[in-house]
Amino acid sequence: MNPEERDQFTEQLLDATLRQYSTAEPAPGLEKRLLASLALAPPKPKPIAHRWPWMLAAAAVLLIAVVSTATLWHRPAPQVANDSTLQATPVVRADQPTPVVSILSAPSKSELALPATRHHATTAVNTAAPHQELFPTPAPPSEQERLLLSYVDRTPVPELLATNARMAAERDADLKRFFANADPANSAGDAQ
Amino acid sequence: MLVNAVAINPKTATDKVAVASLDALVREHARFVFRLAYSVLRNHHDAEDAAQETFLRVLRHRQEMEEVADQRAWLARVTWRIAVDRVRRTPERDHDDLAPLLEQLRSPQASALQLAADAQMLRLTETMVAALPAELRDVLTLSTLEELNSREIAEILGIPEGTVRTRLQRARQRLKDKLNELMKGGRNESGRA
Repeated sequence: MNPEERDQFTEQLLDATLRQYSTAEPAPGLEKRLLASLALAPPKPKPIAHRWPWMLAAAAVLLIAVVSTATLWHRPAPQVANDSTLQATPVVRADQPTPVVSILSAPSKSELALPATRHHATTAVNTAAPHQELFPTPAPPSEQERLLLSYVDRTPVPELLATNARMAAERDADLKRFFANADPANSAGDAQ
Repeated sequence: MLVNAVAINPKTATDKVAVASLDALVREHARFVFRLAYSVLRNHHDAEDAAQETFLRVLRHRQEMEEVADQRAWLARVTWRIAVDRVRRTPERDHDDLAPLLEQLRSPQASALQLAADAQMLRLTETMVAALPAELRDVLTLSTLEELNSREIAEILGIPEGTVRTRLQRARQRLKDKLNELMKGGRNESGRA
């Protein structure tokens, strides 16, 4: 094959090949398959304009949550310094020995753990008196309570524990006696 | 008929019109969309998947589609993008052993038409087209579709019509040179550039 013939042959071959290059035909039923797949397609998402009421509601809820959290976090300390009922506390303490006074005036663990920046106003108050809204106004102890406090103050701890154990044992014995007397049939059955 | 029974859940009158036009669009252009996708992907299954993706996009944008002046050109552009995107993700296929074809090319016993009908010749052409630079390959691939003229190819690729013609000539010349080289028993016998 001379160069001219080869060139002509190549030209024909290229034309014929490229004509066949994209002659592929789809398998029968392509349209049906396409329409079926379109029918199964998930629905088009709603445009943003249709969703704005929900977005607005969600934003409002979020705003309320944020404001509530912020309000609770920065709640001001209660103003208790001038409460007349608190003035009674030192009177009670004055009547009683030192331990009772130290319990009332010492700040609680949770108050000690709080950052100083949050309750800087409260810290000064705590040393003088408890929170009024958390702890109801302390009334002067009754005569019986005063006797109990003085007993507790005077008695050493081991003796207190021993007394407590003895009282518990007595309570148990009383209960057993009570139930034994209350159900004689049962006790008779037990005896048999 | 199944096609008529297909429901795409139209809710409003506008939706009903859109669904009816979508149905018509699929019937009218499904084959064209498939062939366009096939010209790039060279695989029936992939081409059908690409066609399906094309019409799914139409479904999502059916209201905007109503405003498109040339729906066929719009479909062609979408299909082209989908197919090109898919072909980038497809691993390169193994090629047939082309040695017997190359023997035939060096001493042709059959006519050019008979050779062109050979499946191996088609594989060789695919390999040569794939080896072309992208700008030439795109134009040549689209030009093999009888449904597209140079103006439409230019529209799909977003280039001037004159550029399409120039690139097409260059692409054909490269393929011709390659075939000549193979017929002479050139150094690159596999046909890969």
